[in-house]
Amino acid sequence: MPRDAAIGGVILAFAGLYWLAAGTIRRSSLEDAVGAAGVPNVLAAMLAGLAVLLIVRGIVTWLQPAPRDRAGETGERPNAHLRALGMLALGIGFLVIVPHLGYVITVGLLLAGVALYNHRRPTPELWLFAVLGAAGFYVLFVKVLGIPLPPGLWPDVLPL
Amino acid sequence: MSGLAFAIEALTTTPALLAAVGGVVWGIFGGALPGISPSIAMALLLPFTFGMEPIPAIVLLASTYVGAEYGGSIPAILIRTPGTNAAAATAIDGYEMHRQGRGGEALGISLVTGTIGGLVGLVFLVVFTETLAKVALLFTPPAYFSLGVLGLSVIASLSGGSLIKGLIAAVIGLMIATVGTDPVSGVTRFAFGYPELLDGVPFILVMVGVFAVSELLVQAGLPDWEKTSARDTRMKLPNWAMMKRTAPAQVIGNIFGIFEGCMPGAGGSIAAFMAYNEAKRWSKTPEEFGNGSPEAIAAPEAANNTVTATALVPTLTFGIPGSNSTAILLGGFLIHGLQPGPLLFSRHPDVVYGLFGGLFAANLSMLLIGLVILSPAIWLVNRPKPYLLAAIYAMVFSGIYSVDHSLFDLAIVLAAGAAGYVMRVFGFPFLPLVLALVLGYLIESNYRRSLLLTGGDHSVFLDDPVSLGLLITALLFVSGSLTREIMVLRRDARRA
Repeated sequence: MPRDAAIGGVILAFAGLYWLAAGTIRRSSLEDAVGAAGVPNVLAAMLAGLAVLLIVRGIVTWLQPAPRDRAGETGERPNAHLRALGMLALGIGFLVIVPHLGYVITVGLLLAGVALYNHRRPTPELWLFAVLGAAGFYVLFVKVLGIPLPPGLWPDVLPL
Repeated sequence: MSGLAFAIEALTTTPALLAAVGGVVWGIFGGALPGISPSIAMALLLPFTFGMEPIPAIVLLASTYVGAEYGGSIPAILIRTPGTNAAAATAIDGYEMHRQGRGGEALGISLVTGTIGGLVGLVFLVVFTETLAKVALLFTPPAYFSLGVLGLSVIASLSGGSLIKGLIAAVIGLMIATVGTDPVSGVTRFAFGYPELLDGVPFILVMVGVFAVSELLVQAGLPDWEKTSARDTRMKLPNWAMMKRTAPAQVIGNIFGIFEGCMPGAGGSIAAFMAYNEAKRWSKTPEEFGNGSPEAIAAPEAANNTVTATALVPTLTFGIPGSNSTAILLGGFLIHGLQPGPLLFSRHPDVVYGLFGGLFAANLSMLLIGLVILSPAIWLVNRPKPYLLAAIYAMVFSGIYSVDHSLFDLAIVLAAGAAGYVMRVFGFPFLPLVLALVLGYLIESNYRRSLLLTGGDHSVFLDDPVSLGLLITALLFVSGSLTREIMVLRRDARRA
């Protein structure tokens, strides 16, 4: 399945979902001739049309023999997408953990986690980087910039 | 108060000066790191500008752009890895000069010609921007709608390889812009019960997500960049003889920087390569190009630094950013309630001329800072990549959280980062999406305002001569790009 045609199919499905969601926009007595749903409906139609064009172009290109000057092209590294997914998961992990453990600890875990994930060995240098980095971010954002970053559950757990 | 007075006031105000210097330093460091483009370096700073006064905030962002264009030449020359796309042309001869033991000379030429280029671009910006802004005062709501359509059409046509993908990115950006409250009736659209979405999706979250977070995701799958052993490289400024020799290349770079900078979607990298090719054509020693020619560094560096100023022409006069970096800068304006366009000059001349003064300070700062920052920049490039990625990830989260103290915002940034990664994999350009998100409200509100004035009659967009001209121009850009794409497909099919 050609890549462009595949992503075109996904985009076409998204256009359909968007159009359905636009159908739930309520009408108002204050609205003009276009209405609140007018522009969204036009955008959904435009995106659907462009997605169809992309699908057609993808299929036409795929059916053509590969041009000689592109022979041997290697494309992306095979595990790059998995690596990206892992980085994204680390970010999601930060979001999940920070309300519980608070900003300082979670940033430290993020710094260590990203470094380990990107093949850094778990040496004292790495843990020092995580600790000092978390402390540095705390000083910069909380003390210098005065931003109240999430404290987590610590105020409830520890006596002040 | 005259424009010059505003500019001088900015130059003598500590916050603006600090912003200029700080922005240049940050930009040089950011530009020196492969994978951190000027737009990413600026996007990382965006959340921090929320709490600043408008002039220092805008100067900080613009100075980052200036610094990053020079910073990108450091790894380009030392390890043949351009820190920014625009430095790719510099890498060709810059690295050769480094191999010949003339790395310091190459860096000096890059610094001086870049500074001169930035100042020349600034003069052009100051002279022509206000004049063009007066023309834009003639714009009516139909003309503003058509201008938005033209801006998106041009960007979609020029910013990536495929017109269809560019237009898709633009439409998706417009779709995101419809989230929130309808501009006419106040009805809620696409909030799905989340109160955080009632005011729409803040473009800063999407900008930081698609630029910075997606880059982190990409870098996780790439090998570490090459480190440099050039710790002993010393900056060597060009002498008078070298300045004379590179003067024609400097002029060529300035000319292409002025022309390409004003063209939406063109940008520094196109200007740099065109200047390189043209400088080679006019050089007395073209055989040296590719083997360590000083002119081959002067031309692209002059071009890409000229662009840092001239790319602001469409941004300030029409509110249409022409590149990723100026889109971020536009975001900086909007954060402070400033709408770039003709009215900016009359309503906020202090901001406009303060920006001009700040850019002047930034270019001079770049020359002075560039003399001393080489060693720290090399040190930074040689840091382990995992630590740099981790620090940037933490900075993204901390910076975004500082805007509205909302974990929901972090979720949006991650979602935008994932979407940005998918866009990169499938070859969709970012700029149309970001531009559409920023301009979406302006386009829809002017469209509906125009129809309100005429009772729903769409011929208003054709009856207004300015609007008609803009729509025809948009059609020409789209048609031209479509024709070019079809010709490329046919050529590939014939080669097969």
